[in-house]
Amino acid sequence: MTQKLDTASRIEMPQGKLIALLSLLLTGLIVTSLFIGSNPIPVLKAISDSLQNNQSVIAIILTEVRLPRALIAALAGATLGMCGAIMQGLLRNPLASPGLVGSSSGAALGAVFVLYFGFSSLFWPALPLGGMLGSLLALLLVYLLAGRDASIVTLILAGVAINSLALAMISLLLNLAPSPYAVREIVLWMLGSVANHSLDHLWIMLPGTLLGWLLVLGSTRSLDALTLGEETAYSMGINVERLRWRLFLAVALAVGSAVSITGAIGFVGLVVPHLLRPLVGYMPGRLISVSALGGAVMLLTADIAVRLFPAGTEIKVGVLTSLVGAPFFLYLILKTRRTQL
Amino acid sequence: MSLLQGNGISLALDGRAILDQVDITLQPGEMLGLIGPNGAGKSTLLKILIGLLSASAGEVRLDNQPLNSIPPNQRGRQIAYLAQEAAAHWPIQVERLVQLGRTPHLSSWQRLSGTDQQIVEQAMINTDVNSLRDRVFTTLSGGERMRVLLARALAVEPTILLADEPVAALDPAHQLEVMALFANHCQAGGSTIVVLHDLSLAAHFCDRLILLNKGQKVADDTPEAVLSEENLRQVYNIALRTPEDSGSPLHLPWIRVDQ
Repeated sequence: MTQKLDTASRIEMPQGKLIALLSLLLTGLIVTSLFIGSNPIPVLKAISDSLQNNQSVIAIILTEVRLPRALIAALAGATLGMCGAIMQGLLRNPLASPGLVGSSSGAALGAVFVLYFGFSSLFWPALPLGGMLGSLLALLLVYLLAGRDASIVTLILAGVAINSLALAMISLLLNLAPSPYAVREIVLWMLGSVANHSLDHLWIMLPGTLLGWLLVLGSTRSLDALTLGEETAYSMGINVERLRWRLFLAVALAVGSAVSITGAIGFVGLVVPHLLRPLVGYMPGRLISVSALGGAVMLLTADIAVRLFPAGTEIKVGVLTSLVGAPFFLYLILKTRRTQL
Repeated sequence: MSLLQGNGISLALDGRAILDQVDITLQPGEMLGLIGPNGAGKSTLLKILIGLLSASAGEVRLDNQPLNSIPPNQRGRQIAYLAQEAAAHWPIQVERLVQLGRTPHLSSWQRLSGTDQQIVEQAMINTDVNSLRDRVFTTLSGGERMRVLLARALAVEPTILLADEPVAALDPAHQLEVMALFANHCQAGGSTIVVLHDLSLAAHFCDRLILLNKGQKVADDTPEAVLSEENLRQVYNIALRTPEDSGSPLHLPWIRVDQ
């Protein structure tokens, strides 16, 4: 164990290099993603068409279908990765993530509620607002249930409880839904996907996401200080209580608006910070920007993968991330259990 | 004028008095030991002195100003706190952990300056952890960890160090080493309050001792006066042996006495 941890720190990379590398990868993936779709189109021609304001079919496919899809995947992935890193740093717990602490399912409940009552057609910000509110409520409930210095087990249990509650309420809404089409639509949305969205969806998602990101700025040093525990961080002048509320709000805003568009996409927020943590020398502050980039890279990769998958119906990207993420989660639990013994 | 003082500090939780009208003062350059049985309220008093807990009655003053009127950053630069069983939650590098001590001196956006790094280097040299700088904190032994955490506290460059049972988990050699570091801090003009269970160490290193029992201050005087036979029998239910060794008595708890 000793040996392993000592070597783990040696795979660290300089922060600038890591960010440059991930940004390069992300740009490459966004470009690649423009080339992949159900119908092959001459992408370069489409780009030149849309730049010349020529409303050809291929230009429309590019700007109305593929570009929003790539950007929404990048934005949602970045939010999930970043919020995973924030929750893990704040709770000092490698298993915390937006999915686990109820933030995602709370957001899903809020969004389903808005969709169910048709508020979103009356007032477009209702959808992200519902997501944010649901996300914040679920987060607070888990936090209150688990308590401040929650052990990993307590946190998981509190998360499970709130997640089941949110899912039960979603089921209730589905159960009461008047039309089977509405049910089908909501269920498909809940599987989690970045496909079939227009640029309008991107604009709906953007304000909350950016606001959430802004709130995170400047908290890296405080998160680093929290490595030494809340009391020591306090003794070094950190207002721990204020930091906690600020970051909870940030996660709720960002995850709430992302999930209200894409549906709950699981495990990105858990897996990404975990994989990148050794590369930043386990410093929780540095992990945030890196995880945002990593989350975008991961979700884009997954979304490209589902498009390449030879199946009659396209698999939803949320299904793929859960299929890959759930075994990873089990592996993490086993690993934590081993180190605790 | 004293540097740090608590006047009439009381704290009651669920109707039970944890601390009852405790007065405490700390002078510049002084090393003050806080002793007393388990549950006497030593850790609680320390937490109140730094503002981690608020007293239900009484007032804490730092530099003759009410503690809660001082901005957190400024308080953080003046008082460093070594929590009981302090730990790191992530396996980070020793040097980075010590650098965290500069937190109260830096704004959210500032990077560590050359001066900051020099202070960090000095703290690591003083605590003899320079050779551990590239190691991962969680892989260190108990004694090494304590020294690293102390280096972190010294990197704050505080006037006041508050340490809650810093030597409880250490072997005798490391106990002496850590206590000597506190003594150095005081000789250099700083002040220290240290919670201790080892009476010999308390007598050896501290300028003054405060003995707490069941939330009340029993004695506040020089080590010889505080560690009197009567005080110890009354508070700890123990009798000591105090063999003389080159002038200073050793305080060895020897038998339990029931009252």
